[in-house]
Amino acid sequence: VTGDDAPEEALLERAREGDAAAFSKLAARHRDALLRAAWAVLGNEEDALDATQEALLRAYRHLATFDGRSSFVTWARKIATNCSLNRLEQKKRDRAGALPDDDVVADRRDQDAALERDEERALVRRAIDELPPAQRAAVLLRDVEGLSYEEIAEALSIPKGTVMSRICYGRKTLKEKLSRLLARSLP
Amino acid sequence: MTCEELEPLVSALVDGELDAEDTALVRGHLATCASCRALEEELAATSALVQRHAPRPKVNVVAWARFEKALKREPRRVKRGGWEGLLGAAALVVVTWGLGAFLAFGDPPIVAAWERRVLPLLKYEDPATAFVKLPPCPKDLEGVKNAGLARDLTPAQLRALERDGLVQVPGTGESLGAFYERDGALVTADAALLVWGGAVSRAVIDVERSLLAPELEETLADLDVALRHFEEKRGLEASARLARRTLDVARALEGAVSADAAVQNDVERALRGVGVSRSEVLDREIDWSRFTPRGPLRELPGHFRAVVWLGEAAFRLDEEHPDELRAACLVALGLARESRTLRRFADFDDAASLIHGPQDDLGGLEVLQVVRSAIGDSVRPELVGRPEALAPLARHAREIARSARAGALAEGGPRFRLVGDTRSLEEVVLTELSSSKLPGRPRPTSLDLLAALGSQPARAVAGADGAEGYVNALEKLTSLLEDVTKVPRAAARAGSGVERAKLFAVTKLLETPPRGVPSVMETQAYSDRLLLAGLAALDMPEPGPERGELTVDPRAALPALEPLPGFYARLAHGARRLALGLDATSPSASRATARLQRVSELLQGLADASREVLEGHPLSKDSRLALQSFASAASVYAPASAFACEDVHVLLKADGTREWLERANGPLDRLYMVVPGESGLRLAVGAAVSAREVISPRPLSAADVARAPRTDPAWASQIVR
Repeated sequence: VTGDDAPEEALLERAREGDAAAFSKLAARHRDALLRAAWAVLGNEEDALDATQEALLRAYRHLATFDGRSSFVTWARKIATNCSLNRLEQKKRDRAGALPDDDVVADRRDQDAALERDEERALVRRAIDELPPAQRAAVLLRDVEGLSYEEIAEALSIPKGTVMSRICYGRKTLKEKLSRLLARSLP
Repeated sequence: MTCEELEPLVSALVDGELDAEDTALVRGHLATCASCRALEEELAATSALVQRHAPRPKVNVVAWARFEKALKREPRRVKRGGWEGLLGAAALVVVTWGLGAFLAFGDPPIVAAWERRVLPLLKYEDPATAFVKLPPCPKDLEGVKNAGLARDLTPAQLRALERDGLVQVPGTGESLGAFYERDGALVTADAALLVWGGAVSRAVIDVERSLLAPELEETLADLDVALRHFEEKRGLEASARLARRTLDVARALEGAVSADAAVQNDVERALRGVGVSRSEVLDREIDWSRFTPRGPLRELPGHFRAVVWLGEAAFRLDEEHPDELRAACLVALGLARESRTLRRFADFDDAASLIHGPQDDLGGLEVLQVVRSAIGDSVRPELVGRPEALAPLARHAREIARSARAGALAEGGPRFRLVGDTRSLEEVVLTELSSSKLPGRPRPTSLDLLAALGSQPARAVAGADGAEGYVNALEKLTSLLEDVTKVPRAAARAGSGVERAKLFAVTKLLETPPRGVPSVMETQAYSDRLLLAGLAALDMPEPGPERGELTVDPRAALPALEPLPGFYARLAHGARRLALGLDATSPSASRATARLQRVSELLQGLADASREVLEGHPLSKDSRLALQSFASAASVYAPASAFACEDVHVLLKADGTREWLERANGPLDRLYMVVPGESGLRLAVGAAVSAREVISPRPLSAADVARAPRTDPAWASQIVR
């Protein structure tokens, strides 16, 4: 049974035997989760889509090494974050010769104008965009994906203590940038 | 531990990630430390904001289709440490959504790959505050102060008013033409569209200039180097020269100098832009009139002509034309020398496929695949020149074309086209609905475009002449255009740069209807208006000159305003979206970004002023300023006097007198709306525009006017639903 509602194990088994269609079905179930994880690291959709594709192809090629100790999505997510981190490194190297980006700090006037138009969402997204990638990845994997610190440590190949500090400093940075929003939402 | 040292633990407490011991420690501290308690609250609130608003992107259908295609290319069994291991430390990037090519080419191995760069997908939700929030309308208009105004409304219209708080009826009031004759200064929806379109048009040209034109220029320069290198190799001279000359024409059109007489002759023909004659370089007939830039593209004539030329330059991939077949392979190999060249080229190459659907032409990447299939992964250009390579190359070209194009191959076999066809969306539609394809049909119009984009009212009007095959042709176009306009990433990639940005603007405007918008705002007629706005960006006549900062004369009389708050607000939002998109992808287009932001503010000012007018409040200072500024904005962004622009047709009679035809189908419509006033609900009456455009196959005559229906209840009911 490898229909759309086939159990994950059945799809996995077929995919291991080289059934690309079964793998495709399996991948389709988790593609958005992988994309979100890649996005968390890379911060933009274009790169994240490419990293997701790369990760899925790698997962397919190396399916024989998947031992089933974790769930498929956990395993594939780790590949996706790895691919994304590699891409990030590559981009850094590509940019090394270029001038650094201007330090973008949300302008106070911007905040006022944005608040007037009730664009809370835009403001939050911009603040997330501006986080250092390491912090962004940890924060989003926690707050969006709901992963435990342990799972984040595994996905990003960093110690659990580092996860804790990255989330904390990421949130603190966000808190500064969103101070006016927070002032409104807090008593 | 100091407060600072405890911070990560406080954050982890928010996440419930502390063990019992640490939890007790942190809670103990919080009980005595107000600043850490505040921090805990703030971190929790921050986390909540992230949970609520962080983007949750989804893999779209186009990307998924590409993945599935890539998956199919994967061998069933892959040896551990396969090609990935071969790349070594010198490798550049790896696989992408497209076709990764690995070629041992001359000295160091090259991994060819690319990233796509398109305008970003911005997920907007229009702030509900930008729209008039209509209060629920009381049944039978009870408690509505000047309900007497509504006594002429039909029961159906009254029901619509109860349901939507808004009803539009064919008016009986003063005609707009008379208003123009008398007062002359009126800010209308059409004026806003012109200003918006002007600003978008300028922005689009800026993107073309700052992003696409330099990229094409660099790509061609890179290819030139590669091809000169090939010309020195035995057996490749003739085909490398053909490829280089083809590129040289494009480069010369962009301003590079060429001493080659054949190149010069073709360049001169392209610059003259008239007639059909034989191209010396391509050795075939070319319609040179296509090389004349129109509209705002006149500002980038060299780039425009180069792109058109590359669209014409197709090489035949068969054994009967060995030089063309080899030239195609050499161009593909030239592209693969540098991953950035290939990436840039892939972007251009990709652009047309979505909008044009399956075609026989292979792109540069597919030709690379041909070379690889025929020769193997270790490609040296000399191998392409060997006589025995010809047959496998031609065979694989046929096979790949057949599999990529679902089997069907046109007569003459596959071809390699340097840059996908650059016809605009309009051209596609207008060609398909032209009299050559649908005999007996008059020249297609913008209404056909709207119809093809799925507008039912436009379809009803445009299809009224009953030309045979019109409905079928329209169905086909509609599904094609739906593919283009419903997938924002695809839309952002489709067509030329201008087309790309325009589609981007339009699809962004038409995306998910914003929350909190009165239901009547979602009507087809409303969407049509927005589409027209997008289209105006390209169809506009000459954009006005730059005149620096706008000036406002505070003593000038305020122009009258057609009060359409939602309409102006949505346009304002569209301008702002485009500004954000430009800002993110094309920082060098900062002037355009600033211009769009300025226009957005002006339009928002009109929206606010409209609301004040409809609600009976005196105009605020900001609204007055917006109205005053609008006149000067109009003269900067749009043709002069656009601020008093409306679709009014004027008939010049034989005796020299003029007759106002309004919109050729009756007087200005009126809008009834229930608005909250200081002391309860009021019924407001205002002017509204109809989205109807009546198309006449010939200049309007007095007889046409006499035949035209004076009112059109069917149309009104479409708007009201």
